[in-house]
Amino acid sequence: MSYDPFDGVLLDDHRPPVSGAQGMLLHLRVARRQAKARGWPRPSLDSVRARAQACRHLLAHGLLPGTLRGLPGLDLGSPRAPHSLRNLADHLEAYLQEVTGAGCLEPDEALWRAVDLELAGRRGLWIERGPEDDPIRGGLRDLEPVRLRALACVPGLGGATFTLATRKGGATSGLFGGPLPLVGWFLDGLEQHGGDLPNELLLEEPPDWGENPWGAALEQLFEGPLPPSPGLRRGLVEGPVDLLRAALEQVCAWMDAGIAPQEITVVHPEPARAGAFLAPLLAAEGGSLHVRGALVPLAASEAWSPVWSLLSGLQRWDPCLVSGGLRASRREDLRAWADLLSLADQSGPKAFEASFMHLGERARASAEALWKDLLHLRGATLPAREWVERLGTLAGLLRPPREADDLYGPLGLLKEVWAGERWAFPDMVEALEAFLEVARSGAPDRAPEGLRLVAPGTLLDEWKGARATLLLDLSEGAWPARPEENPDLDWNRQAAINRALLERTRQEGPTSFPAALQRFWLPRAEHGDQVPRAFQREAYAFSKALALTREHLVALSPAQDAEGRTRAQGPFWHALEGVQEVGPSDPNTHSRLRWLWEGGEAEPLAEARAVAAQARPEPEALRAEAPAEDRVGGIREAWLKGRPAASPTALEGLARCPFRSLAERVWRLQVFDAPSRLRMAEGTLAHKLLEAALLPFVGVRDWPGALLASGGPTPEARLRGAWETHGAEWLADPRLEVPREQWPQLRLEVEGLLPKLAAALHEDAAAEAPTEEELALLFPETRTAPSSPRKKGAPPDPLKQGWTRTLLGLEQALGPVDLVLPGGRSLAVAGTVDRLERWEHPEGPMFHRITDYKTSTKRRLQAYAEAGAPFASHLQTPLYMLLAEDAHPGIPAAAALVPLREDEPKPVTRPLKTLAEAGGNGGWRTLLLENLERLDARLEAGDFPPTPGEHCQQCELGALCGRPVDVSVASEDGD
Amino acid sequence: MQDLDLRDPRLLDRSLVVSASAGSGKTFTITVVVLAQLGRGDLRPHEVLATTFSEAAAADLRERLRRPLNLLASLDAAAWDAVLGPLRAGDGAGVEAALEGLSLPGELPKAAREVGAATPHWPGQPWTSSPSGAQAFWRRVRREAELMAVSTIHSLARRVLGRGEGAPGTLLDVAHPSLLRLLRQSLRETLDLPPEHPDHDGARLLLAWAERNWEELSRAHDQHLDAQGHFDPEDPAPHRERLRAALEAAARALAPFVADPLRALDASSSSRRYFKPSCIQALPSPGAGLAEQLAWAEAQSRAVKPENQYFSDTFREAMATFTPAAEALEAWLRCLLVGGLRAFEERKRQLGLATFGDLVRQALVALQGGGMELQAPRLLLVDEYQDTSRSQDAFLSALGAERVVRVGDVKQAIYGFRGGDPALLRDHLQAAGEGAFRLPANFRSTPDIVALANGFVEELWPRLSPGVGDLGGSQQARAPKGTRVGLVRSAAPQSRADLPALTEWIAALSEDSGWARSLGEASGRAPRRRALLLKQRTRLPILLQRLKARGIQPYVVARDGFWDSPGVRLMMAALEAVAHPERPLPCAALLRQVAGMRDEDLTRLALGTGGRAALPGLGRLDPDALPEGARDAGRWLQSLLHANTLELAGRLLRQGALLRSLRALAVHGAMEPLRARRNLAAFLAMLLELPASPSVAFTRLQDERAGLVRGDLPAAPDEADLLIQTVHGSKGLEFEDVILPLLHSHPRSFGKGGLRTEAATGRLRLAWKLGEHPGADYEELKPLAEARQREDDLNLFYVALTRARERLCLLLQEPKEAKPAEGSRTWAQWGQHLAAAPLELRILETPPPPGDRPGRAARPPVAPPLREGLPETESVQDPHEGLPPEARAKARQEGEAVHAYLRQLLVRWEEPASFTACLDAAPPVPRARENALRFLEQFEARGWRLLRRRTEFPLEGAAASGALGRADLVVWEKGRVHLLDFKHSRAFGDEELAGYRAQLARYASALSSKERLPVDAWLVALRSGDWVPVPLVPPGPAGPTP
Repeated sequence: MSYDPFDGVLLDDHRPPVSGAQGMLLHLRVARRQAKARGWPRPSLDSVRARAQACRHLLAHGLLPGTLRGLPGLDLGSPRAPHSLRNLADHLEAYLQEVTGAGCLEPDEALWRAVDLELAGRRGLWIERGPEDDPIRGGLRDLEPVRLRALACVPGLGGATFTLATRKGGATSGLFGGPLPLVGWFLDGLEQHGGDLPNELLLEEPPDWGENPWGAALEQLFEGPLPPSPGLRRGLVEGPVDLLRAALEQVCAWMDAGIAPQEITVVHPEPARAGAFLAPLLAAEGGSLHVRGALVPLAASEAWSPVWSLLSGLQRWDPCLVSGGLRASRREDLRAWADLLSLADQSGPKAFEASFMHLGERARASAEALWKDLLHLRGATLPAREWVERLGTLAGLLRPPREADDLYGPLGLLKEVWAGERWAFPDMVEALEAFLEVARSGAPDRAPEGLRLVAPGTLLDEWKGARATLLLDLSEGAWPARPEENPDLDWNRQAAINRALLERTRQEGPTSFPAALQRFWLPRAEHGDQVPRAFQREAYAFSKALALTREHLVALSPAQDAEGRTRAQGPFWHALEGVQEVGPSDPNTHSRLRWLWEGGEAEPLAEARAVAAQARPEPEALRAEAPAEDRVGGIREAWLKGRPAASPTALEGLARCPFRSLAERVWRLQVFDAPSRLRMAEGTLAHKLLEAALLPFVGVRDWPGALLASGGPTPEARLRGAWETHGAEWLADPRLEVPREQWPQLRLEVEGLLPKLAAALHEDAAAEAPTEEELALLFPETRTAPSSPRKKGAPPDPLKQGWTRTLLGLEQALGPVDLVLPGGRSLAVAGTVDRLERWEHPEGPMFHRITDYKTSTKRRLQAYAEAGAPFASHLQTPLYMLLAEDAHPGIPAAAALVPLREDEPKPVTRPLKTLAEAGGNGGWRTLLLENLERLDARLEAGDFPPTPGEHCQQCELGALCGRPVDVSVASEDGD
Repeated sequence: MQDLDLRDPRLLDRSLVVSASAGSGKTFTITVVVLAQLGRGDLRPHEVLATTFSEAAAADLRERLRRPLNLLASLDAAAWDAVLGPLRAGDGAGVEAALEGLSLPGELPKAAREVGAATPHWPGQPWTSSPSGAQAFWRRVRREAELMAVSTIHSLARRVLGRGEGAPGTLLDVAHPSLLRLLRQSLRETLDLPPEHPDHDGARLLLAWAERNWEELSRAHDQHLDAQGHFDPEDPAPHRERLRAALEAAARALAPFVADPLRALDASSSSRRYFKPSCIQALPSPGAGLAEQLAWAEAQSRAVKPENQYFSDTFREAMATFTPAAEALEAWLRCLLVGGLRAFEERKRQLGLATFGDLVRQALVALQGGGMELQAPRLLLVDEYQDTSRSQDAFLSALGAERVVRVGDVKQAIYGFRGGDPALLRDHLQAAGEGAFRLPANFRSTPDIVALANGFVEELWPRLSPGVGDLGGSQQARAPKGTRVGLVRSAAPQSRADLPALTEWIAALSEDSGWARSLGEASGRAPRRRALLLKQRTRLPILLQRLKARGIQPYVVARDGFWDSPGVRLMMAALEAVAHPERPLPCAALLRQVAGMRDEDLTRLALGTGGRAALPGLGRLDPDALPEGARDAGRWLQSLLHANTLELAGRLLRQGALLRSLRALAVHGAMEPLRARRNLAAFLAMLLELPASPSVAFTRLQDERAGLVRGDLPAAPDEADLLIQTVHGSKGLEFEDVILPLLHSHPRSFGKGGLRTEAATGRLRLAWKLGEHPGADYEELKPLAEARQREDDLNLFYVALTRARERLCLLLQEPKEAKPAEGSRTWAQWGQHLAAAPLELRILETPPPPGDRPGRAARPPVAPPLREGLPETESVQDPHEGLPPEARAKARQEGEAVHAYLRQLLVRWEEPASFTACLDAAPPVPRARENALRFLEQFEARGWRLLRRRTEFPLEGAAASGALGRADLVVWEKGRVHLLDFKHSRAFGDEELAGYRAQLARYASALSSKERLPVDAWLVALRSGDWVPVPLVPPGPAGPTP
């Protein structure tokens, strides 16, 4: 399609106009070539964007390279300065050649040249207009010099009529009190310099302009407060989403007042995004939405964002970004690979390669094949057009969910634009980025009629007013957009060009189109109050919204950004200073969203679940109950996973959070992220090492003596030996579930633990006596009050020395034991302890110690001793004690935890103190059995309520159980 | 430092450094300084550049700077007439009074004070001569004020880089997972050396440490560069050899003791019985490698506690031989680390990734390199100067501003952990000489609170931190007299800080009656914001449980509350279910919380899938397998698989279960639904910025979640009894009443692996220990780091004390024994000294009983009117789903090309040469030329060739959206108009025809109303030459749009 600058006027040229995205790629090509030729660093996309924008400005003003170079007195700067006007002109020239070479035309340049031809008496335009046609109706965009020149000078056009709200001088006011409004400055120029132009340019006021309750006050807009009017209001809301909520509420309020959605216009800086969110919500109110303007860049579109994520991830060797792209595929094999890639903790090709081994055979083959393609792609240097083919092939391989025009249309365009130059992968990625940021995705699905959701720019040309208008987001930078400074064409350069143009007009006298009319609009008053501001166009749209809204106009703006930071409000907001504020919320709810959002509608099951999921002190948590609707009867067997007895670990899980226990054991929902897998594996390996080191001493009486005997290997040597012998085999054990790429880290972790494990063994073996807590629990009658110090000269405590320790077993199975619960039922329990040993004293006392290794610090183990913990959330160790006592009747048992992350790990037995405090005669056993009875009852009744607590910190089931927050605040004083 | 007097004309013609204590009117002062200069006409708004620490502060400063300009620009001639009299006389109070008398609307009157304060600088200015002159002058200034640059230093750096070759493509926080992944790759590759490499053992040691400290390492790396440090390479070999030699020397020195451990014992020591020979470790085997030697040295060093008295001097001397080994080890590891970090830096640069720190540093380099063509600001304002880093300071200096006004308070520097260096402000204050000022007044707090802060600053601080220097002096209170500051003393528990033990007091002070009974009535300001400020949130959940049990409604601004918030969790689950349709967990969450399935039904679903029990993912969900009541919901959930990111969010909200579940949170506290909704809104706002593909959006969110601790949004809801937040989070805020617990919680101690920058050389310093033997950097850095930590803590304490406007209550949990000031480390210990100082504190003994809690009059919600909803629109299926994509794209392109070709021919029909040229330029579409010629023949045959016709005829309101549409061809016959629509087709199916009919109906309607003539519409199948007349129906709801 050729270019038609005006209604019924075409360029005499069948070449298509260059599109924005295509133009951007040509600019990139020129900038790269220029940088290379002049020895500058490779241009960044930022600088190319700025240069493209500068070129657009120049072209719109008819400032073609030749014109620029010929302006009298204009200093073009040095060719060595990257941002000089000289380089800009060179760039523009080269760019225009590229456009021509691509078989396209740059509309503004083509129009300028076509008018040149027309003025020279040759044909430059095809004019389909006849005498019966009305004059061309000009819009705001036609006030750019290149278009204005055509309208004013081409004889066949006969001029134009602009429907714009402006009157020159007099009482009509401009922005912020300037005496002249938007186009006055330009018309001044026309009068002064172009009074004898061939065509007449007429100006007329838009019909109904300002015919609203506050129309008269528009005269004061930007000059001071508008007088209060019931139909004109403004209000601040909290954040960007509250803005959309408030918008829906306002629209519904208007609908309730009898205004049809079609008669309402909502203005939002990003209507496409807001529309996608609002459409279902408005549909719930019976309204459809039609969206105009501000389409999303392809890079963020549904079709392209996965491809872009994959390619940028590949460029950075970032497996997680690649994974984001692969996940969108409809191919399950690729999605399986994506899942593994998302777990990678480092960038680089190794992370990719290591992920294959965990895939099934078919998925592995696909992943490896794709990886090979990707690697080839990354290393390739190809002609640009061939890259397009490769991208097409890649898209075909990926099979994204929507193979829509959004994906293949742009590929077709790229094929046309990307010429024959050879690009390495990074060059291509950069060029693609430039393209995807500029090219827009296809129009969103929209209803043919309904509430109009438009971008501010849409107001300028395609909007004829509404009964009610809602302006959303007048915060700084949203509307009007912040004037960006361009390094290639900054305000000072623009001012210099203006001066040169004025000078040229002065020198040349009146011509058919005076150079003076090509002046820029500067953002600051370089020439006094006469100069319009950078945001004039948007200010006009804003004025238009006010002027052509017939009944109600409400402006809402967010006081904060998405992260809760205060946002300043922009000039349009301040222009409304003094209008009626949108007051405290209307007691009448108008939208269903507000009704739901403010809690108007209850959900009985959700309420019942929330009651069950309240945070409670630990002992009370055991008494929590699930709502009746959530009882799950008859699942004891499923919970036991077919085993004959419950393990202490499972029971502890049940005590800690019954719901989690149900979800993990019955629903089989488990989440392991890479770090937690690594931590678990580290613990497993530490256990295996200690087991291997002590294995020779099983059954040995006085095993500490044997372990520390001089001449034998030290504990560290034993551990190191075990690691060297078995390490590789243990790591490869699939039950460890650690991806191979993490083996090096795991090795480092374990080797870092070795000295600590050795110290633990040494410390343990060197102990001459049980801990004070063990003695107090097991032999209370022999202990003095802990606070009374031993008197000087008193005989040494006999139980503090002379013990003999026999290692009975490692990874020792205990049970199954039928524990008889207080109510008479029995519960079968079986478990495995890390180490079981017998302590014997020559004077008769004897007990069994269960040692439980914890890859943790001593501080972390404090939780095991907190009130109630050994009977509820940490009941494993006392339960093991019960099992040991059952297996060895008559011999009491104790348990010690060994914090293996300490430099010198000493057995921790503080939880025994809590047991001792439960009362004499083994009162702890009664308490424990009582709690087990509660757990048994839970299993029987199918009662699995969530019981939130600090354990929620490591739990990923929050969305499932609906627990509250603030139950798992980590201690910030370190561990 | 001298007190700043805003009337002093010298303020406007020099650079200033201003020390501004809490509540001293810092922003007011900055505003007046700028306003005064703008009014003098010697500065224009675009010549001002202001920077501050955060986006929020920048927004606030921008508003404040513009507020007086809004006021002055809004005055009409009559108003100026009233103001100019006192203004010409330089009478600030008179101007303020005149402005207040004008009954200005909205926010405008708030700026009268600033205008009054600037007035003394304006007499004699040309604009003061007439009201119209004043009006014109200030309106121009206000217009230009849109170009006044107020931003964070990072935004400024970005702008500066834009002037050069552009800013880096991707900006990441130092803890962003993407950056950490790159750091891991770089260090692992650098430090993963083969066993035969001489640095292998050191590299493994270092890597093992790094594997547990990636985030800290990334932060430290960035801070090192921010402190203007460098990563100059250093040869590790000499240090390695020095280490080897030192270890051998140590082994030789300890050999005699290994042979006879008792030589290590001082037989005369009274504690000799504690000596254990096992503390002497066996020597490494002869010829042992460095790893074994190091392991031995680590173990030996750890086994001996130097503080034990029973070691002999000779043994101590032998143990001292580990010191040079520790120093060599530290230096060796540093060299290796520098190598790894250099690789990281290089890779980061290559990939165009940057941290915010990089942005500033790159801008600094660009400025220093020249050629930026950047116009230097005439006035540079830097707020919160105490939080600037060295590279930021250098960057600001490199801007070359004519004058600089630096404002800050060394007492409020609490961002040392982010690289802020308050010493810079101190240095500037010192160097400024007569340009150094302080703000002497406090406008925020009552005299008693100001006296407490003064007492802390003047009396206690110098004792706690001798040599602290000038802190900016005490302040004079300007607020009216209020109640006293309260102090509650209780005993600290033995083990750890015990916040829940203060429940009774906190509960009592969560009510106004509690404050009134303890400290006296409030002044009556409403709304009253009550805050509990915490240094850290240890054991906060228990306190919350207890407060809620007493009916108190706290609102917690939590550090990690955002991602854990119920609405956010569920929305994330929905995105995950769509992004990972095979994952059962997110699907289960939706089934339970959104579809409302009961646990029993879920269990049945899980157990009923056959084989291994498991729940399905959303992709495999079979709605028919759900209980009957949940099938529709199941189908609806499945339909989400086709929604894009934002549609998904909108549809979940529409469905309602999510919002109903948030209402249910009221069970956990009345404030909880509010918190959850605020967080949900913030999450949805994030979605607005994310790609439309749920898979990509979810990946980004996962990274965000893993990388950045994101707290609740700050809020002070009126309904809350008590706002709970950290002191850090309270910086810049103020509350009417503040409860401040002073707990006995020890600060974090300095550990192995700390990184710092050597100020003089910019060298990286790594603190390391060999067992118990510290390296040289460790020895030196530990006290420095601890002093710095102490300084930050003292500043934080000051910030906490100065947040209250009217009433403050200190809840002191004091340890049994008071430590001397210099040795005290915890807030509780400092509180003990504060309590002992001669300050007017009201000692409170017992918490007042709970007052009558006024019932919360909940507004009964009024339901919205019932409306009939439209069905949810499913995403339109691609009509060419069956076709291969290439074929589809090709068909579309061919259609467009033929269309353009025909249009050109029609336009050029009457110009034979041009027509022929155009005819020859047929697009590469089969039979394009023949089909076009056939159409023209048919057209001519109808006798239309000579009629007036238009191609691409624009018709307003004709498009499906109601926007401008373009008719392919319009022909005017006498009394009628023909509308032609070309299709590059052979024939039309019924569905197609229906769609085209709706389209043509809209066009015909627009055309008919424009031309006021009846319209005939035709569909032309170009490939077959068929002209299909289309009967027109009035435009209605959309059919499928072609």
